[in-house]
Amino acid sequence: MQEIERRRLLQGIAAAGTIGLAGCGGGGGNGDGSSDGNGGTGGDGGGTGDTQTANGGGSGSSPIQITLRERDDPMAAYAPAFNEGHDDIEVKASIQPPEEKYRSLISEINAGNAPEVVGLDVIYLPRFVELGALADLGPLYNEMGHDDYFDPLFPDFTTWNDTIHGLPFWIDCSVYVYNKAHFEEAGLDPESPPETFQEFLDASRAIKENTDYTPLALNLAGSGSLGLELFFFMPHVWAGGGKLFNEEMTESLIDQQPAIDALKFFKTMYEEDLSTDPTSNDTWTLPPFINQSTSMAFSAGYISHIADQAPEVWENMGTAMFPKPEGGTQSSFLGGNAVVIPEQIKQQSPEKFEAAKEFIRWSQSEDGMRTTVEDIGYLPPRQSGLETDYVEEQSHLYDEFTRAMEQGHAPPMHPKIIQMQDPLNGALARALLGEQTPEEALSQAKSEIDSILQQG
Amino acid sequence: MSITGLQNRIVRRLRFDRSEIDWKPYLYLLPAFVMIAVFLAYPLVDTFILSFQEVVTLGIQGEKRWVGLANYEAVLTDPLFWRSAKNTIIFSFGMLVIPLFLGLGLAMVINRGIKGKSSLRALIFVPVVVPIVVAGIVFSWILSPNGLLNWGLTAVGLIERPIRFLNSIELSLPSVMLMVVWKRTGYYMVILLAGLQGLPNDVYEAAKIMGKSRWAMFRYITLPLLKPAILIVVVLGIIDSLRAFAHVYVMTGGGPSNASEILSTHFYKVAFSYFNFGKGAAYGFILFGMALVLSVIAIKLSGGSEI
Repeated sequence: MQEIERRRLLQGIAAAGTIGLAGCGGGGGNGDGSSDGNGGTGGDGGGTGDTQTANGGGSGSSPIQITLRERDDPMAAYAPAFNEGHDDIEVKASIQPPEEKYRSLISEINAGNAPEVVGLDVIYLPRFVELGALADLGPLYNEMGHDDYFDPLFPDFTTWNDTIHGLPFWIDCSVYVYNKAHFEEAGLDPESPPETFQEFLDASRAIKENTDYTPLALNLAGSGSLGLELFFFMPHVWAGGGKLFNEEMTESLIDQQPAIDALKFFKTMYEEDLSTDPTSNDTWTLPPFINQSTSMAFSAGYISHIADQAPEVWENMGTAMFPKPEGGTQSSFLGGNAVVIPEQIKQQSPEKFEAAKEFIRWSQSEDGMRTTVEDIGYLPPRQSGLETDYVEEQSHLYDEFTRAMEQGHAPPMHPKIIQMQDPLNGALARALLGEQTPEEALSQAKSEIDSILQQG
Repeated sequence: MSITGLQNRIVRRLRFDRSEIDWKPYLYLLPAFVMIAVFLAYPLVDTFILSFQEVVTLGIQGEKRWVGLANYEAVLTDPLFWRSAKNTIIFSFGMLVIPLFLGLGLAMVINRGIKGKSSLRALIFVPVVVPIVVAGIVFSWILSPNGLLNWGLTAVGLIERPIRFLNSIELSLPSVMLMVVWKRTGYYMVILLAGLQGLPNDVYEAAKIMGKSRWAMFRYITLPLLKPAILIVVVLGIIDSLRAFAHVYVMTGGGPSNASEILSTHFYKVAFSYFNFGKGAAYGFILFGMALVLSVIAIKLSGGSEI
């Protein structure tokens, strides 16, 4: 009897121990996809310890392992591209979708277990700087000495509180794409895409009248599409000289005439059935363009996949900057990721901090930018990244991207910019759905954004 | 204390032999206690403390600042909180009131013994086992401008243009409620059916002998005796209405223009999209308090029946 009880007791202890270990182990793993097919990243915590031991033991032969956290599968291509030219450092890509990515990044930082390099969506930069989470990369920027960054990226894309905490990694700008065959069918000149609000409306009306296609695939204010109001709407405001808020960040300017004109333009597009539903929850605007149900689409810069999905569309496709009001300057939203190093990496492991900096140096090099453009399909931060044979071959598409990079705007930077998207999204939805006039909707958005700005 | 009392206590202590205590039950319960302490009690207490703090910096040594009730004040003075609260009350009709009535009706029909009642019961219960995200996506397809419902309404000539059910300020919340009613009715029906099947037949026989109408039997026998089951449904409904998240998040994301925003989706934005940790924690405890208070009120109103 005693023997049985002892056995049961041992079984209980073993079970409790197993559960306890499982709980601890869960914290170490990233629980995400890994680029190298090794069955996950193996956990940052575990990885850190292993690597430290390997290098600290003086073996000399084991490369320093660092993790790159990114948001989409194509970005995993950075790891092999970097590793190919570096024997002493091994980068593993850890891919997590955006929402999950930032939640888990915060948990990892709080647990002292952050990845060494992070591709941080640039609109999150001020908030993470405010939370003291990012290392100062000013010395690294000065050391590299590159002087051909696209103008709009500095200082907004990289700097908060006068300190450089991130360098532009891959850039995603907003443009529109159009189908040249559809333009010809509608009697439009495919080599002269519309440049002003009025020209855009006229071209859309011609497409509607002369073809069976919906003129434009558009989304501005779907509640599942938070972010598009900045990505697609704000360039039309900037084009007229407007802004989301003033330089001092004390007052929103979204109720001013440039924003009202831009919203009226979209309202006309929607009311005349010249676009798909801009309040839809379906974020993606390219699928209807790819299946040729629309002749134009507002798009991000990531379009290279169209070549594989719909070669006939790719052959007939043109890119153009968003339209502007009369007398304005065409603009674009320069979003994408800044590459950052969590502050705790600097504190915990100088060796890994140096390895992470080496990755950043590479990301800004010709080789790193070639990976960004050719392997991943986004845009490089420096002008020399667009002066390659590959880009030359695709000049009919990349010329407009180059112009967008020169004339575009970095996002309005504020630690609470994510919170400000909500009132703007709501205002666009109310105006487009006819609940309020553009003036009323933007006035309400202004007062809501003002209240966020006043919270500090 | 009297001398005798003190003496008795001393004698009891002297007689107490620790070797006689049976530690085994405590040992067996230890893993469960550890799990509860680590995964439930600690986060709960930590979050409660966080609700009075502002996170200044992240990290193991991260700095937090004590802000007293400022986070609670920030939540309660946020106009979106009150709009979400109003929407949650409306939403609770879909989560609780409508399915409760439908579930009770169906339970009574099935309990009466109709033909094919097993198949009917299974059919009505099927939506309960469909994952909420799947149900949300399917209903989004059905209700989309190119979806089945618009196609049907157009085909029979009731409408000329598709209705935007999900991105309409008036219709987005009722559209989500439609899916919720479909999913919850079977769940409540099973609980209420179990309650109905436990009611004693002799009471009904006595009522029949006394010549009572069906309505009178329902009003004065079925409803009072079914109160514990109804109370379970009401409490579950209140808690689930406040916890409901994926229903709205998948179908409308709370939009358009916050028209379908409910407390849990707004809470999610505050805590996990805006990274407003202290305010998010305060929001969580306000929701917890609301669920507690509403449940207690429901129990009190029902006469304090045991669940």
